[in-house]
Amino acid sequence: MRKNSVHTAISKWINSIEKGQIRSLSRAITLVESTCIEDQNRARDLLDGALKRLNKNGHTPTIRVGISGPPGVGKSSYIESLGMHLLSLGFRVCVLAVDPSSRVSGGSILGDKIRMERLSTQVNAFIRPSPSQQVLGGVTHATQSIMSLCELAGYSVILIETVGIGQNEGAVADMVDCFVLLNQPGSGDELQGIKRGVLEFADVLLVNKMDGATKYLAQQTLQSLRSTSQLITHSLKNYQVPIIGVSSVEETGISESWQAVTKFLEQATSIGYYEHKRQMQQKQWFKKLSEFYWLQYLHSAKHSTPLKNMLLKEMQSGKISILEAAQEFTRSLLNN
Amino acid sequence: MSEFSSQDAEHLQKKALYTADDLNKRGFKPQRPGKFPYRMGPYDTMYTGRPWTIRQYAGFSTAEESNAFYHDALENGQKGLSVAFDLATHRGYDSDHPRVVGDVGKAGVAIDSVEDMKLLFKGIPLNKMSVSMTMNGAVIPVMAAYIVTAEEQGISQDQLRGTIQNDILKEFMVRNTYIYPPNPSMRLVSDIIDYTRQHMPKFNSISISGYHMQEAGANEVLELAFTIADGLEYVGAAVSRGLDVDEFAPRLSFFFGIGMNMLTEIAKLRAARELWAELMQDLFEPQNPKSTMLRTHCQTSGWSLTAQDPLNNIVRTTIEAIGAIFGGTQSLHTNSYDEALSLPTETASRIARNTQLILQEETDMTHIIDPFAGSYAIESLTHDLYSKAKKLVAEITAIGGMTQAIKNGFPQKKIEASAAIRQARIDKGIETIVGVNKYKSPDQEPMDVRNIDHSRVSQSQKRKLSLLKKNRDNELVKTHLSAIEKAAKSSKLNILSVAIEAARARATIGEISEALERVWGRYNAHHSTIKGVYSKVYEQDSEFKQLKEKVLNLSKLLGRQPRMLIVKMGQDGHNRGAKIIATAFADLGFDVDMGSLFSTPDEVVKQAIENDVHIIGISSLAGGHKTLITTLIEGLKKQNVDDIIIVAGGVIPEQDYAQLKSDGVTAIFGPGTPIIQAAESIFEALKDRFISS
Ligand code: B12
Ligand SMILES: Nc1nc2c(ncn2[C@@H]2O[C@H](COP(=O)(O)OP(=O)(O)OP(=O)(O)O)[C@@H](O)[C@H]2O)c(=O)[nH]1
Ligand SMILES: [Mg+2]
Repeated sequence: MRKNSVHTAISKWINSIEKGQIRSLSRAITLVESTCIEDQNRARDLLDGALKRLNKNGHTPTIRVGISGPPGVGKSSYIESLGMHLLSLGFRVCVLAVDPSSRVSGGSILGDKIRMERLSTQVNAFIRPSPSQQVLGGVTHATQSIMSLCELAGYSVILIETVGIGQNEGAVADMVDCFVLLNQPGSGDELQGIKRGVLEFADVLLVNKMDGATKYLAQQTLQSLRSTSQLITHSLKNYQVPIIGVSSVEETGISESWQAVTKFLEQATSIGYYEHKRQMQQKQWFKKLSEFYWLQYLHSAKHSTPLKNMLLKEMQSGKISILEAAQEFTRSLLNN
Repeated sequence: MSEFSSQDAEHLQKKALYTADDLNKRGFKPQRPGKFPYRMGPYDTMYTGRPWTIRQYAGFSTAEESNAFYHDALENGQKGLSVAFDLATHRGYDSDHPRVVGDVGKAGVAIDSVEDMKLLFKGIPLNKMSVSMTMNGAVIPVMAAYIVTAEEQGISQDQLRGTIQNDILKEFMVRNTYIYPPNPSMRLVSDIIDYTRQHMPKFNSISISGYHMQEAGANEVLELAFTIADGLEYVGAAVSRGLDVDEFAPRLSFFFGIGMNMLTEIAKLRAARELWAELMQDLFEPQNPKSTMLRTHCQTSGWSLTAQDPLNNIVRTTIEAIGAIFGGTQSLHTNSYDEALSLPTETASRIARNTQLILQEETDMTHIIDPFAGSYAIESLTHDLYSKAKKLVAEITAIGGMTQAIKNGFPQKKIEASAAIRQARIDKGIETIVGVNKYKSPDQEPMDVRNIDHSRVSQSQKRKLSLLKKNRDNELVKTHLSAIEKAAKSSKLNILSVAIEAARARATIGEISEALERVWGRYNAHHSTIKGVYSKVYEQDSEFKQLKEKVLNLSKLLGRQPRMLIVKMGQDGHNRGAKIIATAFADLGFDVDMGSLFSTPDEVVKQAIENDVHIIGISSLAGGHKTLITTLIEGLKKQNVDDIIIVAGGVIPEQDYAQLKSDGVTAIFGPGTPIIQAAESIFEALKDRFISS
């Protein structure tokens, strides 16, 4: 009986997300991001229902685009311009700004949205900045789930802004259909070095700030990127990563950059790469979810506390080694 | 002084004792007033020839009401006029525009056209009266309307005396009444410099202002350096357009704020004159000595005035006025004691004016030129301010000048940090504010404040607008407006010349602004907010730590940090408070969404829902609170949102608290609220609303 009423509440919630109620969607996102155990259980039910609904109703899959680059390169400004362009093409646009860095201390000041001033007032745009936080299993795990919720709400393009600091590009690239990397004017020189690892994830490369005082430098960067483009390998055979100059402020190169995204997706679809990538995404997500549930289990297994304490004591008194203690603990949980 | 000020490279170190040694170390050389580099003053006789001009900044409601106020002030000893426009006018909107519903006539006088401008100056001969106009964003239509008003009074433009503020850089930095992006805005500044150079030889084409920086939180060094750097940027822009420096530089004027550090302020004005003169000479090599002479207006600090025990403010203002006078200002505005409550009442305005009259006519202050010249302390401070500011100016030059530095957010961040430190020091009691954090007086009756009947002003403006549009030749107006667009697209025509034609044909302020907006767009400056500055002052403080701990524990129950959306609605550009609240709350463990300046209530509703915030914190200082907050709450209700906590802060008269609370505002925090106290109270509200016990 009780289980039923929970189910009707959840399916009502899912209905209203599907109808495009932004409040329901935004609350669902909060639930998925919540660190409370009870919330996580509800989130699991909600997500489960949402995914089933997505499959059943044959939603056309959303285009998921990751937008990354170093701090201050203009990711938010670019999304403002691209988003407005996409709306004019008839898309419904969802923007998720996630900060994958872990929280240092205190709260965050979420400033990405104020750079998306016009976009944020549009009815067909939904923008949700997420603060950095210690979500179990990492932020990307939550982002996967949120994307599905946005898909259910009928958004046809999802743009994900993440700061690229040379570490998490891979994780984000794994979640999206197309990974767009923004470059700072002037970053061309260091191409041969550390940045190459990051470049490998890029499906589309942009040089931003092609305007005003930075125009000349941006053009030079574009040149030097293009001249080394043979060094940029892509896992899609015969695909030449396009390198495009844009100005998010003057809104030049925006539609070209979107054409590059769609061209990539077409090419990827035509040879089955896209299918492959989506399957990879599912696999990744499966892995992430499993890890997440495992961690959750690990942290919530109250019955194991006495054992944990005993092992710790033995370890501190030198009876067993730290490795033995950890292994013993894990093994006992598995056998439970 | 505290650990902080000594770390801060831009902070001025002061010693307990200065001796002749200090002068020697600094290579002190005596100077003369009226002689380059003008440390002792721009004129050789200074106040012994003619005292400073008493020029009170005022304007409210309609042109008719402000006009009556001006006449009264002039009959009672005031010598020059200074017009405060309302925020709709500042931002280039006519009174009937949907984005200004809460702003018309509230924080200044509503001017929509030449007809309003004529009413504003009725019975005031513009060839005799020097008029200062604080206008920057909508500077083109307002100047045009002013010139046409004079013309229709029978006065040719070459007879006009006065000042147009026309200082757009500090708008992007701190004052926030810009309209267009930085580059076209800079062109407008130059167009005006060029136009006045040719046609209005007695008119100051610009008032390069540091005052607003100080009010936004800049310390004396930052204010001085950024003002001088702004000035150099304008001169550079005009010169690179082909103007000869001697043709316009003598008509540049300055504007500084004067706070409670009286001795430092005296030194600041002296240092400003010297620094400007030397840099102008070095960089632009003018022939005319007047081109290097810094003449300035000053205003006492409004920020230093308190809502608590308001009569204390008379004392503060007097001290600051003395600082400005010993510093050698050319004109002065003194604030009213009810500054932190609302626009001044008649009584408060009279006392403010009398403060200057008393200093001018009852003391011997005007009898001696630069009485502090040669003082060990003041000369040393003058020198130190001079060199610190000079270093910062060089830093800005290295960035590529002030326009670029502002685009990078460089001066903004420094000012914000300075403001946050100041707030923390006051909240913590390191700095004393009598009646606020020390020597508090028992509860007082709320003081009577000026109340503006906003709907009456709005209706009257709308009526005048529709009458104007009925009586004019609309086709002719259209032609003139497209001429303005054309002028904006080319760089050959002077936009002010073209706009004067349009104003003559009775195009409105809003229409002329909009014509330019069609070409350049409307700009909104966004910069990231600083973090960690407020909490740094509180390091090791147990109360602060405890609150942080409580917030952390609450976060565990909520499943996330408490999330607050901080909003500024309408055309109110006062964001010092909003930024300080944002940075301090983030330091305490809140997630803070910063809303855009100039939001509408509907936009706030959408953002609050999308971000799923626990709290909306409204900061309102320009008098639009009743209209805007009520509309916001209605908007939330329409979306069935009933659990978001609404709090408000800023300049909200106590008389309005009851209505706001009955509309659904949980708490209101007025000027002088210690942030920790506001955070405690919001913490309790969160617990009540979201945690079932
Ligand atoms: C500083 C200041 C300015 C600066 C603003 C710089 C900036 N970027 O913010 C400058 C010089 C640019 C300025 C300009 C103008 N100003 Co002014 N200004 C002030 C002044 C002197 C102090 C305000 C301030 O920053 N205080 C310090 C901050 C920290 O305090 P606060 O904002 O009150 O915030 C505290 C609390 O209120 C509370 N709080 C506030 N918001 C929130 C939000 C939340 C969520 C919480 C929890 C708490 C909270 O906590 C804070 C900490 O204690 C006030 C008078 C006064 N003493 O209050 C006039 C005042 C606000 N200004 C006024 C006017 C009219 C103007 C102009 C419109 C004048 C004109 N016609 O041109 C212009 C236009 C500005 C614009 N774009 O809107 C009037 C408004 C009149 C009215 N309400 O009826 C005032 C009241 C002065 C007066 N009496 O005439 N101004
Ligand atoms: N000239 C120029 N400036 C730009 C452009 N795009 C962004 N900027 C500026 O670059 C700065 C950073 O822009 P954001 O859009 O916030 O950059 P971001 O990459 O989202 O920054 P974070 O989210 O903080 O990592 C701002 O000052 C923008 O105005 C552009 O195309 N041209
Ligand atoms: Mg960003």
